Amino acid sequence: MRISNLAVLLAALALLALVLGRLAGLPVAVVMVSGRSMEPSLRLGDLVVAVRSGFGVGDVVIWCTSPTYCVVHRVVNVTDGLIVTKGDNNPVPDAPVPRGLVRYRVVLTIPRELWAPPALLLVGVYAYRRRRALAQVQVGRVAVAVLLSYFLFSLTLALLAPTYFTHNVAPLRIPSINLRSARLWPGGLVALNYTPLGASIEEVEACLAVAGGLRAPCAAEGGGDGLVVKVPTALLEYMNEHGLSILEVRLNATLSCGQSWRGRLVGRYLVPVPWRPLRVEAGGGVVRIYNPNPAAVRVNVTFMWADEPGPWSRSEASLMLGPGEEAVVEAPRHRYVYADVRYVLAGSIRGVRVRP
Amino acid sequence: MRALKLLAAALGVAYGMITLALSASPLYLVRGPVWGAVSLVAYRLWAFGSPFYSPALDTASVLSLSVLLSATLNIAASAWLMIEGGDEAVRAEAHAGAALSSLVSIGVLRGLKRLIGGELAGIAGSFDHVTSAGRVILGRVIVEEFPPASVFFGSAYLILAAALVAVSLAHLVQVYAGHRAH
Repeated sequence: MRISNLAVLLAALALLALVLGRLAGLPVAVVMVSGRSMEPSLRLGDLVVAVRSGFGVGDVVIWCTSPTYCVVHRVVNVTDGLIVTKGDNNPVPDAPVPRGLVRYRVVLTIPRELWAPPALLLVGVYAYRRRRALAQVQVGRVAVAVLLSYFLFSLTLALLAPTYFTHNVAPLRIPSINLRSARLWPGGLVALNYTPLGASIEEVEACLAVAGGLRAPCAAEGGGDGLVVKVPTALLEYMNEHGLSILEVRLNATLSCGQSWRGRLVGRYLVPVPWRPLRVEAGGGVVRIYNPNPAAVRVNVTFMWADEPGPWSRSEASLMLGPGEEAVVEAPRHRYVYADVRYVLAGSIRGVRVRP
Repeated sequence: MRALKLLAAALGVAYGMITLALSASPLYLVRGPVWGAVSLVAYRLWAFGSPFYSPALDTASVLSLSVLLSATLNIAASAWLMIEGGDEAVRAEAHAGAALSSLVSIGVLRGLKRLIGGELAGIAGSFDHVTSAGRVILGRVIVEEFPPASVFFGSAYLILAAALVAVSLAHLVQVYAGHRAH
């Protein structure tokens, strides 16, 4: 056997051994990059030489879930028992996989320009040297040679490239958004806080506040991860008078997903309205009344007074206390004075008697 | 004999050119939140505005080299077949070998169709979902088979390859029969 033929044979056997290394679990393996997810570090058609050894964050590893399903990606996170890899060209990391699936760490990259032309040249030289033998017509010899060469090429391609026979590994992350909190603030403002997961609120198209059987359009401002909805005061007053403590906010919003896609959000949020008793304090000849509720409350104050034992005299005052407002009512100056403060809260009449 | 040779060469060139053209043309169109086109040798997909890379489609692109090689072999062997002079039996054998490679190529093609079709089936469908924020409506991904796909994966293409093999082998037998006669 001539030296050149021997060299070709040895090179072919060495390549075959390395290619089969991945399938047989040998300490060294050669794998061809079959995708663009690792560009520019690894390009389609590059060969990588990988060894069985330890790895850390930043290393390019080969993890396989089966002998034919392997991924060549970079390690971005290592936790107990799990690793997270990511293609340099991929926008999002892969799903975490068990550490045990990592088979090799890439130690050497052979660019496609370095291995493909010499390999083709080698095959060409071999065919040229064997041209006389090939040209000797023996029935079927050339046809079989052509067919066999083609078959070997296809087989090598299938063995070199990590192959994927499962379809549930597409690194597609679906944009989403979650609600973090929905709270009612003084002034009838509902604060909606969101956790954007690739999708954020761009614009509110429609807003409706619903309580009992009553519906009222509301105004919403903001975007991104937070909205402020202004609920009509009349609706809150209606809720107070009818003892309703759950406000429903319905809104339709445009979502900005990724770079150029628009989605929609249809949300229905139930916001509790905690009706609190008015704070009534008396002293120094005055009665102070504070309304901590989001709706205005009508308050009737009845003063009863007398200077001597006998019948009580009365005077009344009525006032509307806005949300978060405080009113100071001056009491009549007499020896004995009481004030009855009455108002409607959450559908029931409440009353407080104080002495100014 | 010349008619059979011409027919074999014509079928080889037709098979090769059609294969190359169909490999490069879009076979599937994807519309919706994920959009783009997928051919046998390449694909361009965007998901929510960002480029989307699929390992399965990348692998299909690499393995499609096998189909491209068969097409190229057939064109080259057909061209060589038409060159006068030299030993015609060698040229006829080379053409027959290339023609037989088309049968392997069709097997690879069928596998690639399953690989690509399965991946796209995983992407197709509605992306709407419900979270604590409400109903998130992202739209539906629709995968449409482009007309070249029905040709590529249809019976007409199979018949073309079968005819190529049959005519090429018939030509080869005829060449050897001529050799014996001489």
